[in-house]
Amino acid sequence: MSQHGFDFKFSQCFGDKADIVVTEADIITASEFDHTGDYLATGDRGGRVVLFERNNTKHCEYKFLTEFQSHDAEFDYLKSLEIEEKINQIKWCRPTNQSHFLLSTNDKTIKLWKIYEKNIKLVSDNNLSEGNKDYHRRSAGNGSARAVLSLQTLKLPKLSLHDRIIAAAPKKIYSNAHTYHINSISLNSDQETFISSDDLRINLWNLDIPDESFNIVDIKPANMEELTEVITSAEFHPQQCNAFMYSSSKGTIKLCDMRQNALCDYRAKVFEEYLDPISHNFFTEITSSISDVKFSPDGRYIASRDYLTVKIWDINMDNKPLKTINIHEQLEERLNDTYENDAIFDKFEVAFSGDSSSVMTGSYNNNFMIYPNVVKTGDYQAPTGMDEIVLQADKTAFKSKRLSSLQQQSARNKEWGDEIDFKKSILHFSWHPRENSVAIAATNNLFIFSAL
Amino acid sequence: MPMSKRDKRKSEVLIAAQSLDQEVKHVKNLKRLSIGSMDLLMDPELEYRVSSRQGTGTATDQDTGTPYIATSSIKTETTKSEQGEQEYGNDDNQETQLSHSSLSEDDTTTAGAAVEEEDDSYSFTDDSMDVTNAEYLDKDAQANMINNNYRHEPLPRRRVLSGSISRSISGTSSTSDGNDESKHNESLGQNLLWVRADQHPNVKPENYLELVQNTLENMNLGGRSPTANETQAQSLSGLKTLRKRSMQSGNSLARRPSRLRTSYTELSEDDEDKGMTDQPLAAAAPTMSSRRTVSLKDITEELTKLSNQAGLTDTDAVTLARTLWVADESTTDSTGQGLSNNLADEEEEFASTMFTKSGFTVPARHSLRRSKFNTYRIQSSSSKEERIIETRSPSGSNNSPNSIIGLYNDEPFNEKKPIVQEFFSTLPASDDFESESSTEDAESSADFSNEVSSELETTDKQRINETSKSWRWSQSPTTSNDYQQAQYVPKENIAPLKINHSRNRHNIAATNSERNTSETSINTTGSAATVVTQTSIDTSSKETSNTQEIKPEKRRSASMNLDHDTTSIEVNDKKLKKGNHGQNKFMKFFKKRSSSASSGGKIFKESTTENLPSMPIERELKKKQSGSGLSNKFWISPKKQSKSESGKEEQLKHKDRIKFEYEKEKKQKEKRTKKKPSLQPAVTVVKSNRQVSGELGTVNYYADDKTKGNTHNQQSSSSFSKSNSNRTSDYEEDDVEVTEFSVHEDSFTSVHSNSSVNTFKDAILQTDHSQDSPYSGTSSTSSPSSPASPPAPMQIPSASTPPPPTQQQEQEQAQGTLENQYPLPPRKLTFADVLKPDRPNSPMKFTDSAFGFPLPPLTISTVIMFDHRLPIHVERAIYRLSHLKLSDPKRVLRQQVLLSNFMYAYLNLVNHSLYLQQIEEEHMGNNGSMNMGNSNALIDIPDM
Repeated sequence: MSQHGFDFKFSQCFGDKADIVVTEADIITASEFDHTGDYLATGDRGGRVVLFERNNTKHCEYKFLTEFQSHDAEFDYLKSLEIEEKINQIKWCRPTNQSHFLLSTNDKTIKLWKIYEKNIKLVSDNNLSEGNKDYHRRSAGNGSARAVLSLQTLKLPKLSLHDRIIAAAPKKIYSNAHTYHINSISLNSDQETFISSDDLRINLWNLDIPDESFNIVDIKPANMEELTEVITSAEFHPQQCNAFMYSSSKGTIKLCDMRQNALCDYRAKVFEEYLDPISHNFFTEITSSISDVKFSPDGRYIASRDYLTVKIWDINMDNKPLKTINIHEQLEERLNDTYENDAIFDKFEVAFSGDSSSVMTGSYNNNFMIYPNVVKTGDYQAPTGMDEIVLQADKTAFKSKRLSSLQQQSARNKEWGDEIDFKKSILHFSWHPRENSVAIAATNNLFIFSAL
Repeated sequence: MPMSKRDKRKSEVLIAAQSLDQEVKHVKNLKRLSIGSMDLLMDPELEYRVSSRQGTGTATDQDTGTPYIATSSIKTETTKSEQGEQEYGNDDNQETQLSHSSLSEDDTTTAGAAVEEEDDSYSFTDDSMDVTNAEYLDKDAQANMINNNYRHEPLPRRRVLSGSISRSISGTSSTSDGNDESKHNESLGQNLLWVRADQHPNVKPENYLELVQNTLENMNLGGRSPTANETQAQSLSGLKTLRKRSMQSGNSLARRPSRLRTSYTELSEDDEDKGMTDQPLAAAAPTMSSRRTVSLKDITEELTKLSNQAGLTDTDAVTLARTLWVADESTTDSTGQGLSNNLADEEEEFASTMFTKSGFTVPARHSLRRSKFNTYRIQSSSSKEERIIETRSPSGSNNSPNSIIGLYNDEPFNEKKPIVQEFFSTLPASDDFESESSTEDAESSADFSNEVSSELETTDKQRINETSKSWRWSQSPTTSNDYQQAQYVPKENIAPLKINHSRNRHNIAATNSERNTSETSINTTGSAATVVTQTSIDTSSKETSNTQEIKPEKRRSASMNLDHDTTSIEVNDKKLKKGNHGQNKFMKFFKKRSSSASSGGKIFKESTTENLPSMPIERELKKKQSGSGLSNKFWISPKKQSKSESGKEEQLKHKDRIKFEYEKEKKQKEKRTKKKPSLQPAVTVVKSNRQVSGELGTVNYYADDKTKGNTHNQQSSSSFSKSNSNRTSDYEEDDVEVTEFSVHEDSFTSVHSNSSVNTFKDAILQTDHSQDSPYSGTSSTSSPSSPASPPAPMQIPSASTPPPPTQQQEQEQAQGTLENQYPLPPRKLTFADVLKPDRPNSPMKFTDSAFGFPLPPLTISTVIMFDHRLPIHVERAIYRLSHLKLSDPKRVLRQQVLLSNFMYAYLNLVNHSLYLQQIEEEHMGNNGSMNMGNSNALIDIPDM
């Protein structure tokens, strides 16, 4: 993959391109490639899941496959709570028998969907139709229709293929296990279990058993007034089915082994950095909260994102990160603004490339950053001359495709000037598992960038 | 509802006390809808009772409620507010009836009411709202939803009150609608003032949510013109309703096929042009549309105004802390938006009213929302007490009794005065802090206090100083947590004797510079005492633990205090009921006690020794009780007095004798802390001293020898233990007066006052501290583990040592105590100072702060923030903004947690910088003349 280089170019854009008013329901809140990269799923605020299929192996283009309503708005009458239909996360399961499975979750309920190709057949021929014909014929002639239905003429109706559709059916619904809002789900490498994490707990499920889950992490204090820390993200280790990690709002990552204890929140390996006060800010309490954490596909590294940095951790070294990348220094003087408009609470994700060497994350002004080869693996290649690629998932992408070089683009995109549009944040994206292509959710548009 | 008629046979006072207690509970609940909101929403208590104003039911409640409050001891200060409530009740009744009729014939009533109103539907909804219950409301709401959302579009005049309020109280408001503007406001204000907490719309969860939303939407800091507000709000709300509806019917919307079906690889040129404009901008705008109309800038300006009005222009830590409080208060106070009536004259002076004026509404609860902050209210009260003392020390104290009363009676809603008060309280808090450190620094604070006091004077001309004093005194116990007690106390306070007493004391204190220090110490002790009381109220077990820590004598004293506190209520009741009888009872009690005690001083010692093994004090008490056959009350009552500061009035009431007995019993604590001998009225003092001395001469020495083995007369006298005091009291009853001894004691007391003060202060502080932490944080007793505990024994010996401590020593000691209380080192913090919890969300130990409420332990962020300070006004604005942010219940939990952590971290930061500054000034003071400054301050404010 890395040999593909990082010459990312705009490839495709889904969604409205006209400057219409965006409906809230259309805002994309999750995007995820499946493990082959041939399929791409997005979820939006309206509870819909839209699937795309690879169209063209050469140019990394996708086409719309299907969409379905995954979640609906609900109201919890007991707790007087509105439950949004917003899709918080989507995870693909391994396909079986030509069907694809994916998990989608909103704040409270996880659903397992089966997506499959369904042949729609229609009865093209049956006795009656023939009889009718006969009837008509005969009525035109002389006699009664009854005479037509003789034993000899009876036969099985014929089905003929009428259409093929992609159908989505909910196979399992994992509900009522979370008191707080689910922020992430993660499938285990054994493909039999998955975890779901809300603000205070992490539950372990068997995919086949929707009515039972095991609580494996619980940081809920006896007294909610002592609540100082919440879980912000959780993920299974990509290879070891017993290991998972979760991040907290205090800026720590905990790597847990499910074999140790039923409740894994105690003897975890804690990834936490000794903080240098100088590199922080007045809002450090907020900005140091980890918004997303990901294992590298090879399971060796961990990438964590807080508001101002991305940190790469070696799984074997928990006292300090391998690398700390400052994402947007421009923001540091403007934290007051971000605090004022709540942008400081934005939950940016982070994503590893398929080869575990590169990392991407998002920013404002529809910018997203790719850090090629930040993880120095064995097959370390000479950097492409840039350690940061800044792209803009924007209309400008269409233009810049044929205009300037990547460096120039990056340089230009990096300059925000005084105008930062905090509404245009790139929070959700996914990196193609096998090639250097990324799917970027920019508000209501889905952009595909590819280095192919 | 809480009070039904069956309670009638109970004494009115008791009922009143209960109602007050209930009120407080409800306020707590109110404040609680926070992080644990989900849990709390399910609170059974809240759910139904509050759900709607159920016509007559509430009205009657209101009516019944009024008399309670009226009778409840606030007579002197009844004031408009009470009338307001009564009016309110009446109004309510009428209204409900009205609306009842309107139910059947909505149109007619509507039309009638609507005459003045812009839109029929408004009035309609309003009326129906009063009468009907929730379901009806909902239907109604839905019906009206399309036309107008009543929730979001209250009448312009009501804007100040915000939707939910207007709804729930709409009965009155609608009636008053017909009247002219001012009247309308008035009645509204009164209503607001006097809605009982459990009936306040805010308690009803959905109302609450609406209120907050509404508030957030209506928060236009600058806009004063109602029309502008209105229009903006309308448009906003309209937008919101639209959105809501779309979301609700949203299924259809969502069912609309996704726009993602189409894709583009290129943009056609024209498209490109279009796209280049600003599609995403326009797109994103509506979705995340401006929820927030408040900007940091606005807040900054507003806060600056506020603090300028309050005379706070400096940028040092002290000022910052105070201004933070100003901000806080304004938040809290704005709850009571309408109450402008009572305090109309004060409005101009106090910043917080600005919000009222500008129609800036803020959610009713304090936005720092961990229920720790329930304690906050309490603590603030304690801090109030401190303040009271403080003000007294410099100025002789002019406090507005009304305000205090108001606080207690209707804490939640009647907050205008509280603004002032609490504003004040900031002073005391910081001052107290300083005083603990024994630095007299706080020139600024003194100035400030001066200002404040002057202001108070102006505002409170009406009130008699004496009464105010008495009130204060009474209040200190009140604040101490026991609401019932609080109510009762005031009545008792009325007694002139007490007033005089306190005055005398003050004067004396003022004269002596040295005494100033003692005074400060007293203050601290006073506050500590209150804290102790609180804790004691909470759990007796804690008391025991605390007492265990302290040495036997002190233990006893502590236990005595605690007991006293707990039982004090009862005592009060009896007092009230029986009036003069109380004295008799006390006498009896003492006699009995004396009999029990008379069994031998040894007995007492034994008891003490028993205590040492960590026998719970209560047990001791029980023993004594059983032995004497006396009820706890009696035990307590004397101690209460011993608390002295708070309970002095009572003592006076009960007469000098009791006082003296009490004093002696009181444990030296009182004496030392108060320097009673000097402070107390001369006549009484002499008398008491003689009595005591006589007894002491015989008994005390003996006891001391046995207990401590100290041979020093002075020591013995100063340190004479409870048992001694008991004996003395017994003797007193006998009325044996030995002049010789008395003289001796007098001299002794004068000499030792300083040392004793220190020791006691320490002890108290420690106890306070230890108790405080469990109280605020977890239920754990943790007395042994608490940092404060170790020093106690150390200091005791020092106390026992006869030599009068110099001021430096005193300072050192004070500092020691301060450090005990404040665990952080007096330097810039490092990461090493941060204790990381071993597991997430582990129970926190809250420590006291200069703010009057406990703060959670230091976090790393605080350390970091030290290096990243922002301009002071920015910080304040940020802090304030976080209040506002946190008040949005829809905020996701993660953000709530981050926000509250951030706020705590900031408070810790301010607290510590305050501490540092204090120490710095202390050093300066040592070099220079601290005493001068202090005495000056005292003298400067001659008082009343």
